[in-house]
Amino acid sequence: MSLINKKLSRRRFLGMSSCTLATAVVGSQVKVLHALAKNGDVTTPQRGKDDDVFTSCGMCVNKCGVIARVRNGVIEKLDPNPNFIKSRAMLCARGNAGVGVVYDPDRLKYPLIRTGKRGEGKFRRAGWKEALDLVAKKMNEVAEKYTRAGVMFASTEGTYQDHFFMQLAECFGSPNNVRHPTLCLSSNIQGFMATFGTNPTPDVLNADYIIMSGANRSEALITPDSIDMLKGDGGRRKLIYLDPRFTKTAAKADQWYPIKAGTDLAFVLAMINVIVNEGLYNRTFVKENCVGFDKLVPHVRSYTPEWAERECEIPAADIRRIAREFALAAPKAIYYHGRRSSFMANDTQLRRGIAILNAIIGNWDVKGGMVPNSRIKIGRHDYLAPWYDDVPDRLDAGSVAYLSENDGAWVPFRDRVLAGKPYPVKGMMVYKQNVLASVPDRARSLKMMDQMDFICTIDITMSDTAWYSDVVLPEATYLERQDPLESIGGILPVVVWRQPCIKAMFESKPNIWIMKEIAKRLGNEVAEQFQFTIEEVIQTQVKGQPQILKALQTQGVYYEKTDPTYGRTLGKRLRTKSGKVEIYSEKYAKKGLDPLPVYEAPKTTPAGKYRLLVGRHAFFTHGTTSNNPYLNAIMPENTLWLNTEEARRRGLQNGMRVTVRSEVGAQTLKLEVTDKIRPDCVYMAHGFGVLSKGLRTVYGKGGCDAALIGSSYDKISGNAALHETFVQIERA
Amino acid sequence: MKLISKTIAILAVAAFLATPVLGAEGGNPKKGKYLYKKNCKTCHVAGAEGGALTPLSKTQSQWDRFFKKNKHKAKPEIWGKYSEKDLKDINQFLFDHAADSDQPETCG
Repeated sequence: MSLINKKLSRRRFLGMSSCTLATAVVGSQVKVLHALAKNGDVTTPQRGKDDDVFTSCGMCVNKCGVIARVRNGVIEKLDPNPNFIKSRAMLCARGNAGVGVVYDPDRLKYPLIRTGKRGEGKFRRAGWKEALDLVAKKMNEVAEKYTRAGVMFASTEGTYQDHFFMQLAECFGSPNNVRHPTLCLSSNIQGFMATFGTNPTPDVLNADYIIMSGANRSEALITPDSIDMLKGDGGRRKLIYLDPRFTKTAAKADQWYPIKAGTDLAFVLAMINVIVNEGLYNRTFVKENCVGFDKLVPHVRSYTPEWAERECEIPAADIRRIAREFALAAPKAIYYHGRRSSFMANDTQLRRGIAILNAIIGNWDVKGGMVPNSRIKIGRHDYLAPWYDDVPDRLDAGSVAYLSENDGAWVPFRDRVLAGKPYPVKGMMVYKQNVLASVPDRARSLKMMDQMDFICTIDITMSDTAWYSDVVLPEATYLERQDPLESIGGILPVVVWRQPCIKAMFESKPNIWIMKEIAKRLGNEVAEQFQFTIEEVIQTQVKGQPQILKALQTQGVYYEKTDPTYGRTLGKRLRTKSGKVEIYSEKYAKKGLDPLPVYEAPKTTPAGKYRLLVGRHAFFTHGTTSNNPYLNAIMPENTLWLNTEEARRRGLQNGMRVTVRSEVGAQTLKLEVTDKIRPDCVYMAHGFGVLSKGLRTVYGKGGCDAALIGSSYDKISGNAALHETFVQIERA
Repeated sequence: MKLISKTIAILAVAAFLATPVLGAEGGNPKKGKYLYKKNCKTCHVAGAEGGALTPLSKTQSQWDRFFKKNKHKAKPEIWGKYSEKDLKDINQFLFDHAADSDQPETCG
């Protein structure tokens, strides 16, 4: 169990993200439950025997191992699973607060049908049969009028039951799934795939030298990176961090540079320039494994550290020193490429630059370098989606250079819905994706929803998107469901699942049940593909591998090794066209894209305005957890960060309310005057300023970043660009 | 009125379908996926006669070679069961999702 020993002390881990309340937040849920019971909103809890249930967290993307302590039929506490190697046997504040999801008085309890205008919040309680009949009827009506492509399907990930939602979309016959990647990592994946043929995982634990550009790992938690980042191997670790903000990652770094926003590629290209010019690259690796290095040399000639200093405002001498240190530490050196979303519209080219920089020092597939993911093979639940002759291609086909047919590209997709071209989309099925909080330019997303004939949202709380829906269906929470297995790739791959810790409360149902019931109503052809139970799905997944099921039941996680395997791909063909690392991308050249990353300076900030920065927070997951009573207690609202000197110049004081205005919207929130940000930027955390009055804890608090961010996106991957917006601020 | 709007919608869709969205072989990859899953997967799964086979089993050029030259040599009689259009569609699907295809990995 070598990696289990790599965990931090609990105090240090929680301290890292300032989650000092993490263990104190649980424990009072029984009171909440009893209060609900008293109000008649909930039946008496199921009295079962005491139980400790292995399951996996559903609070964010990490899917960490959890043990639910169930006492008298109530989940009293969630503990980390000591066997869960991916999270180094840790559980964060959000994971702890999962109990608050189940016993949240605001959770959806039964199906609802809208009675007032959209967004007015008037719903009536409906039975499942009536609600499901209505959903199927409306889906069929839209299909009849506009073809099946007229219904779009927006899905979250990580519930493990999202696969059934995607199956419904495909079997219904709509090509228009829209998932989160273009609000997330599609540019990152694109840039690395174009270079290495896959998107690897940085071996943070074993790297001696790490450079992070805006990936705020101490607050935007990713396991195991957030934990490993602090640990290092033998204390040799050096962490260089670039961010216009002094984040908690900056606090943990050896050196922090308040880089000018949007100029990271200048820094990267200048590092390449130094490494190439001074001959510090790995000649053997480049010669044997890469194509296009000869074209890189003249390409970076003008990208000198002195040039970069003028762009990114990091001293040339420091760039030169960091480049040398980085090359010296190779191959146990990584320029950390993710995870963080796209900030600028040329983000794919930034990721390409980072990939190339990693490649030339030869850190590919070695200890402490960039390691291609391993994955444990499990059986696949398969189906045969019916074929419909009249269904066109995706609505957003051709909108970006590389479109994922399963994920789409959110911003151009929405633009085309609004334009009604090339065809109308008038039905919207949503599975736990909070479109209004997540997609930039909320006003346009509202317009898109306005023009829909029908909207159905499946969720566990009344998200903003649910609030604007016609039918709202309550899903059982992740602690109440049996979910299928999920194989999570990585340096140390694992298989996880979820078991129900308690019986689903109220009238909530697992998504598999909801999908089957809708399918049943859509006709025989669709219904035929939904003739399975969750148990059958799991049996298919573990077919021939009974040890997986046994491990999940007895230790909550399945894995085959606890020490990484390096070098699996060395000497073998990579999944690129040339089979090698593509420094120069022939396929980009053929598409008319820059085959080597070309720097584009960010737009100059207009006088009197600031660049709006947004970010994740250790207490919250995107737009989904700010209403959690335990988490909200730690941080009740977001604020607008403004540099101290700038605030003084403008006569603005800490704590006053300010209105932030961009070209697409305005929000009012509290000002936080701080030295932790450059004077040319302002910052706000994501997940506040909600529209839904069904989120009673957070409603009316803070401002919504999605209401301010414009619709700029990366034309190669389709990733929304989150830092291309300028705002002005004034006293509210 | 309803009929008119439906006709317009169908025409719009037909016009869209006519746009050149298809790749190397000019097949319809979505139809190809359906045909592949319906027909090929009966033999090509782990433990069955044809053994496991997915689009990722070959590169784009290997798939093209298979459809142009090999033509299912292991069991040639199968080839005759499909129209030229069907084979093009299947080829297109496999090409579009081959090991070295441009279809990006997903996240989450």
